[in-house]
Amino acid sequence: MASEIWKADFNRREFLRGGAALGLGGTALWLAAACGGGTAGAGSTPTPINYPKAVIDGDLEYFNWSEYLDPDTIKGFEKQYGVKVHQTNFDNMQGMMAKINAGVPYDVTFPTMDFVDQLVKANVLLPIDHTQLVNWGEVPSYFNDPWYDPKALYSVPYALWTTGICWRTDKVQGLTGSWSDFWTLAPNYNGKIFLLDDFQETLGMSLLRNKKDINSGSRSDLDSAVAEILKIKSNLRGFSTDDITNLVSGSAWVHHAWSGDVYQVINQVNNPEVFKYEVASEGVPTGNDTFVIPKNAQHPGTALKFIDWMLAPEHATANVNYFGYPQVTTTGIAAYQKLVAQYPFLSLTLDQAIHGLREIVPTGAKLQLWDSEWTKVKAG
Amino acid sequence: MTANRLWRLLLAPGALWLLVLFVAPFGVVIAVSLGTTDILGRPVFGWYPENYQQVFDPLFVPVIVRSAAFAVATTVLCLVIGYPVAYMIARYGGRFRNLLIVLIILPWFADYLVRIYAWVVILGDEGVVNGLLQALGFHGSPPVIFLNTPFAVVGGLVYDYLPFMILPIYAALERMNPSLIEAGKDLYGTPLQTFLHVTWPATIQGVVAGAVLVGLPAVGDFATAQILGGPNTYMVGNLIQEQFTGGGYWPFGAALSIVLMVLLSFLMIFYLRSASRPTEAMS
Repeated sequence: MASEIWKADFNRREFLRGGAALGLGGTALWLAAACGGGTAGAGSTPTPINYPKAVIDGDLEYFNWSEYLDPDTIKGFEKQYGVKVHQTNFDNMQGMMAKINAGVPYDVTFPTMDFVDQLVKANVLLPIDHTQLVNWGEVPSYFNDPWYDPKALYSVPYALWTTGICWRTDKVQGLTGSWSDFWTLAPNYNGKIFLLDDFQETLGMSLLRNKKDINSGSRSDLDSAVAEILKIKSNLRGFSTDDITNLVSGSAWVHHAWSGDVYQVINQVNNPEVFKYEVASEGVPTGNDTFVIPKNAQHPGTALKFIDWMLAPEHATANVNYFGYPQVTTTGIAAYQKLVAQYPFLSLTLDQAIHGLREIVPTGAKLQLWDSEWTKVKAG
Repeated sequence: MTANRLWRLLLAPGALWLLVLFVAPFGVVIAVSLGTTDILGRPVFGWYPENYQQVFDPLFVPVIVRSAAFAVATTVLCLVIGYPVAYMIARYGGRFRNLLIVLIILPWFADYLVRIYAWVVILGDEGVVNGLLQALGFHGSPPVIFLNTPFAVVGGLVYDYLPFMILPIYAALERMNPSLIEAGKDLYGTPLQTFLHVTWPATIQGVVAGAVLVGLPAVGDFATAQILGGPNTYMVGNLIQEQFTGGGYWPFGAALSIVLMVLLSFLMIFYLRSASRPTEAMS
């Protein structure tokens, strides 16, 4: 077992997620934006809708998580249209938001669904005309009008995930498909359990277990959710979003985890058969990434062509096989089901995604409340 | 007169650097600390001094006490490890002195984060050290839990900042005239007495400089606690960082930063005053 860690392929995304910490460069940019322009405010008047056309208009400025899209599919796009794709990566959603709000001219970027809502409110995205996308028919009908972007005016869906519990069947027994598993396992597996270092996920999880709204704005709901987490805190190994590293290295036997990361773990270890994943009966947080075109894009035509390229069945299949997440197209979801056929617990249907629970980024006074409650968890 | 003007001219780039990269950003931090945020969490300037009230919430007392305790432990350990190392190099390094100093600095050419992550691999439950312990017949899986404990964080901090202790002590030892030690011995001082009455007072400047260089950044460090720490190692640096990059409340993070800077400035002033005193006495 000891040699296993050497086989672990520390991929850049998870690595950076831990180091997202150091992403203070984005902070400065955001500040600059806040001091300088301030024109991209939420309340500015809507300009007449000006849809870009899907015509190649230059090289593509691409801004994504690293290793979150098949490089061969990108090469294919470059070859087909005779353009270059210049890739830049972000470490977390706050860093992405900072650059887009500051007006950096990326042509295509990949916010999670709750941040699309924020970008739309900030009026920094270009609208997308579905008739410009030959492969729009691949997008399941629900995503023609998703909750985070009415009429899918500004975004095209990308990858799906759920949040659940990943555990080692060779070390841990007694999981029951409930968030309460963390509480029942904690005394017996002292120092082997991690919760996600993400206030929406972890406070949300505890709220769900208490049968409360995952996005509750009530102080008493949050107080009791925090009190519950503090009950097991001394048994926890830690709060971490490096679920892949912690599981691969053997530090974690039980981990509050994202479904796609579980697939990555299974791919990286030499004992994949011992890893299992469950979602909880009290509620399954579900999310998806998206493609969007920022307003400052210099080559929105190429961006549309690129999105269309990724929706095409053969490219969606290649991409799913590369990164292990279901891409939200009819073909992409089918390719994912095939990919995880031997791991039925990772199966993720479109229906689950549509009926899953949504985490909404808290703002304003609610943000302050959630932030101070989360500080109680971390500092207490 | 021209020489005088030349000197002033030579000061300009440094002053500009300080102005653009320190004073101006610092002003922005102060402005943010007194502001609020819009619906997207972006800072909006204004007059909300209550942000500072939040800093003194009793909730944060344990965080601040913990940060201070970790920093003190780190400084003491760095001194205990660093002084003998500096002493050996300065006194017995001979012609290898410079090489040895370079070797101490060498790991710092690799990125800070990479070096912390290396400790995860070394100290992990199924990592190198536990593998070795298991091979030696120690039981348990793992034999010892190193990671995610306060020990891992303090160990990581010591590893991060040790050169900042070694270098000033080494410089002080090198400046010291070795014949002082011989003189101490000639006066029938035992090695311990000689050290306490001759070497230590002669190098105290280097020790204080090292303590400041290690202690101050250790108080505000966050990456070490984030990567090597566990549920009970949350430091004030983590609290501040989470306000900015973890979806927190920027004005609160800025207010915390300012308060921390003011507190650390007191320590810095204390150091500068104590540093200037012996120089005066000697001159």
